[in-house]
Amino acid sequence: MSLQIWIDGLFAGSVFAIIALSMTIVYQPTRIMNFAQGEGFILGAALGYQLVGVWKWPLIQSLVVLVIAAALMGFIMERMVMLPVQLSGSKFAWIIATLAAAMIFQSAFNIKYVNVTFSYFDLIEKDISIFGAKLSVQKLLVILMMIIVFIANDQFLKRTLWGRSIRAIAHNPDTSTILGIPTKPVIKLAFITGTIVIALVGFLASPVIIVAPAAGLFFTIQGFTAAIIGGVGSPKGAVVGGLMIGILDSVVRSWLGGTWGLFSTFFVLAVILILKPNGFFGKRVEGR
Amino acid sequence: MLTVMERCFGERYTSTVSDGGNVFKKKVIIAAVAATALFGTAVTATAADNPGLVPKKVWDSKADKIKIGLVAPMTGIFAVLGISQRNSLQVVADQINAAGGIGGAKIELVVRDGGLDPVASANYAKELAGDSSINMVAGPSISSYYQGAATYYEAAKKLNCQPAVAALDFTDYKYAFRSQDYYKDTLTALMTVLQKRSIKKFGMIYESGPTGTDFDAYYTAQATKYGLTYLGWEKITSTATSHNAELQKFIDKGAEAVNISNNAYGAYTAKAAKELKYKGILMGGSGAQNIAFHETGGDDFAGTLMAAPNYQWPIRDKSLWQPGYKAHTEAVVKANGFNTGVKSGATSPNGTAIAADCLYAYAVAANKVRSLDATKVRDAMEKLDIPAKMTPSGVRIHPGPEHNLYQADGINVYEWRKDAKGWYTIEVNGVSRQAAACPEAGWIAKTATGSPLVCAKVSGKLVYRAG
Repeated sequence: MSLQIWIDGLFAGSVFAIIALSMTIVYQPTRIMNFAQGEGFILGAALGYQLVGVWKWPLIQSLVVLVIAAALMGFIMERMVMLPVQLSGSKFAWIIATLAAAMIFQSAFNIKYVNVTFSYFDLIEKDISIFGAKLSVQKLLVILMMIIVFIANDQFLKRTLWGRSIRAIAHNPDTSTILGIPTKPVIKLAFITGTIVIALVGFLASPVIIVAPAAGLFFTIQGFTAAIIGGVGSPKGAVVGGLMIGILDSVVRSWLGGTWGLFSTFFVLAVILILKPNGFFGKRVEGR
Repeated sequence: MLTVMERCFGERYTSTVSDGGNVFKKKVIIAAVAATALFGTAVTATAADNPGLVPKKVWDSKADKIKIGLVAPMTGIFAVLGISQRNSLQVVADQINAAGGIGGAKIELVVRDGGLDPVASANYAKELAGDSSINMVAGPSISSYYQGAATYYEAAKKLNCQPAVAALDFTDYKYAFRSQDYYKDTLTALMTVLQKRSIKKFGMIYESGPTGTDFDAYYTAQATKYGLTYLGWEKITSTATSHNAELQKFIDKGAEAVNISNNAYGAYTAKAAKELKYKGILMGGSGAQNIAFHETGGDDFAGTLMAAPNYQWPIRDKSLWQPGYKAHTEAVVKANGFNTGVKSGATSPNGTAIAADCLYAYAVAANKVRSLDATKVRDAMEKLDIPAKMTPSGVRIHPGPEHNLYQADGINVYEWRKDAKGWYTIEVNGVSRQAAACPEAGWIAKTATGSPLVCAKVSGKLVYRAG
């Protein structure tokens, strides 16, 4: 089996890992797996296509607009999800609330982009040769972003006041509130940060993979699967889970054929759920 | 007194009338005269009538409306197909309505968005099949989706026409017509070109489903007849984010050509070919018109073969375009514009003329039997023989019992090329209906009746001469 297959898997896995990380960022203070998270990916791809591809804006300006738009989307998403959760009092309200948010954003993208797949120029049109295999710089940027997001998130949680607040809320939200930790702003910050992260990977990956306006749920499912395999709520688990399903899919497709890729992913998920119900790095408290 | 209808679509066109074509008339007079003399294929004066227009009211259908259903992906990754189909159908409907309708009845489109969802598509087909006010349905697109819907149409005796169903044998269906190249004709044309280029090994990357199954079986059975070794079928799914793994397997096996999907997923294979620097030939059917393929494949998409009914949009010299195709395409562009790839600059009209043929053929047949009864119109459609220059697609419509509006003589193989001005195509097969372009000296083509043509340089210009 050629090295190219492993490199392709590493890239796809990095995309899924970042999506899983962004879902983890939201999950930690809320205990909600946000099924609308993939729509942030579509936002990034759409803005990359529109700003860089169609309007030919400079990269920096495009990134600034992207971050602002993603922050706004994260804020709106938080309201769309948390308001029903708070008002209903049901512990299952988040399921329908996040799905509804996903459908609303997906519909909005479909209205705007009825006849488009988001694909624009590689930011750097260059390949790197690794023992005969090719890795485009664009793909390398995504892999690097996965590493940076993982480290930055880890340091943020450990070294900043806001990060420690998130950990405290994740541990016990009621006690955190009693101790004066501003729970609601922290949750808003999590939604905004998570959406910015996933929008950035959508922006970077869309020149390489083909992204359709309605593909948000697909990326959500991939991120969700990665998070489950790695352990819900665990950043380390998100990375391991994402890389695992990306590489597994690529290798199995090459080995057994295309239709076996998805099967193998969910087969592994089923096995892991039996052997390690909390995933590789999940803790019981995080899975509660 | 002959009505306009009779003049345009009367008995004179129910006998075989081959299309001499503009290339003959304008550029290769000698060949045209020879072909005419040999086969008696002169086109009568009425062929000069605007082929995109249907005549004014000449009979009374006693109906206010004729509803034409369309089930297609109007949103999502393959929306380009559904939107193009709707636009072309609407252009023909508007033209017919402006000319008085069919038997005085105005055409109205009823559109359902099936997305890339086989269940939703089948359910919409069921709904439209059961609606007695619907006269004909186009779609659902994609062979596997249609397979699920066909039983509803047959049970309801609902006339239907399929502009994006390449596989399946339509002799199995009494009320269905195909306005798409039949896959056996397409694959035969492609293998003919591979043989001429001394290609030995090829494979296929396609989605699981009836289309891939039919293609695979046909290639398996026929490849050796063309001196080819068929390396098999790499199945893909809609969830793959790359086809590198599948293409790499064919590279390892020494494949010199790979058949790619006609659907949106073919763009992933084009992308893989670019990423893996594949030196072989990509080839596909009508789907390779989709500029998403150029977007993802980049300049490396040049050289890709595309077997399709007449697609002259990328042929820069519009004088070579079939008159009916030109009229329809210009009307589509005027109404809906055209798509442009932000990365590749490739363009495509925001319509698909083969969908327009469905409504056009229906109108001609209904007017011919002066009835909207599905069985009578179906029988009339079977017997149609409309010359290429009159149809919106620029392809001769003569379905016969197979219910394929286009026969093998309507399939061309084009090669995508790119220069400083952008993307364009040339015809490369020797089984084309007519030589629409004369790319370089020595190029061989054939007329509809099989007369050989050779591209030659005469007075500094490339023209076809009888070969």
